[in-house]
Amino acid sequence: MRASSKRGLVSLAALTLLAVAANSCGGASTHNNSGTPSNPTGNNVQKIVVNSGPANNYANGAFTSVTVCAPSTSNCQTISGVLVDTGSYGLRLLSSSGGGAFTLSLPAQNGSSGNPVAECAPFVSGFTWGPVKVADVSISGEHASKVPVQIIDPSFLVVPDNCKNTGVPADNTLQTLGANGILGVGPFPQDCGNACSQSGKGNPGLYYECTGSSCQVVPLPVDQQVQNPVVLFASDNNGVILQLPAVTSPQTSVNGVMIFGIGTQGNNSLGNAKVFAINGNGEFNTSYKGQTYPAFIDSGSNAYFFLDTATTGLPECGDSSGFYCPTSPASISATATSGSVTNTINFTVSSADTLFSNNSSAAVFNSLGGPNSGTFDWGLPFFFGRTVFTAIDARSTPAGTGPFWAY
Amino acid sequence: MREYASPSGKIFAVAWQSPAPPDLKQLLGSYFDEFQQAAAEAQTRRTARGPLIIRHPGLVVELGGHMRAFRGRAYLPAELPQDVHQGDIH
Repeated sequence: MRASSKRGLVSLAALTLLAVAANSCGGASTHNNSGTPSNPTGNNVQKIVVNSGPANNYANGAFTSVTVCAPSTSNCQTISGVLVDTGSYGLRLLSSSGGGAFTLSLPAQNGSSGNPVAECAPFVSGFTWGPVKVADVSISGEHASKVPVQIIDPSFLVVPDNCKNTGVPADNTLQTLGANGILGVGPFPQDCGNACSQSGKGNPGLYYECTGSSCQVVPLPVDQQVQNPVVLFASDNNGVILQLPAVTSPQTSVNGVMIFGIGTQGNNSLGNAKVFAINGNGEFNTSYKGQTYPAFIDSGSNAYFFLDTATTGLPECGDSSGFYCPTSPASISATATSGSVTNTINFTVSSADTLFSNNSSAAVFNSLGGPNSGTFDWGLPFFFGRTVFTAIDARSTPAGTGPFWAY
Repeated sequence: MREYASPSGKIFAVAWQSPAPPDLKQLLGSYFDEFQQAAAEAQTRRTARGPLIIRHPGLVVELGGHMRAFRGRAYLPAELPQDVHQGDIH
């Protein structure tokens, strides 16, 4: 092995998680851990469902539908089965050439040389490839105009070497993506930010300008990068809330809601939710057995992914790669901290092999866990029974300026 | 980016944190093809949607993090010096 450069590793801030009592909020009679009502209604409320998804191959995927239109026209398409992901930023839709539902014709986003822009969008275990296009986006009663979105398209020109050299495969088909798209509603407005607007070696290389079939990395201004649509809503644009019911046993499907805005309407107040500031990486800290680790909250991860066998004593599975398989359900306790705010999170990890083999028709699992060396990834099971607020970077809320998580 | 080298100068591990995934073809060198095949194979039977862990007798690669903040490490288990534990690589 060889490495070309040396940079310091980043260290991170601090935090904890928690469950809080109900607080005042107009309209509804019951509350859970925040000021949001348990059955919210309004123009900012979008239904989500946790099920096996449009490819019928997902565990713990939260899906919703999104309407996209050619800008300023009534030429629109509503796409269902779009994954709701607080671990990424921006809307990506899988084209029909990849087996997806998207067939609409949209105008291209052009680069400074006037050629179409394409993106290699990085995810941990794969990438999505395809052109950046411009769409009007509607979700619930919220509307955003001229949003740069990625169309995931395996037939678009040629995947650049820079993209392939990450070593992970393309997730450009319905089977591999497991969704008709990804709605990235994490705590940042774009999928890259300032780094991708710069020339030279500091540019991470997500965006390309293509001539003929050849695509070269280009700097792209921040406002032309793929945008978290929430920041372009006319109102309720400072963050998003995900609310899912508690799950105590495997289920085939569970319904929840996504609410736009934080403290902008009667149905999205923070109430007594604890606010955990996060750093420039979108992360806080979580401690386990006296050691502190970086942590993040990610609805697009489908389990509690944390630490490793040596640290937790939880063995990895024989069959279900990437998960833990304790011989009996294990009770885990971890503590998040942010300044003076702390909260202990208790959860259970069961054998993924047993969960899957004993519940072959289920797609919702509250006790899935897996390894993730040196890090806590609070995936979708964390959202069960909680109301989780994601406040976007530099946006004002009643609890201060984002980015933060709250629950 | 951190490299871990033995007293003889052989690099046996590397760890990183970066806004985008690193060029693993460059980083892994002759081990890249083995990783790429394993990552593609993992995709075909993927149920976990989170970190990617490739654990072979001669090569371990672990990818984690999320968009805008990726982290990972790779090491050669058979080449770890006796006083180095895998947990030391981060």
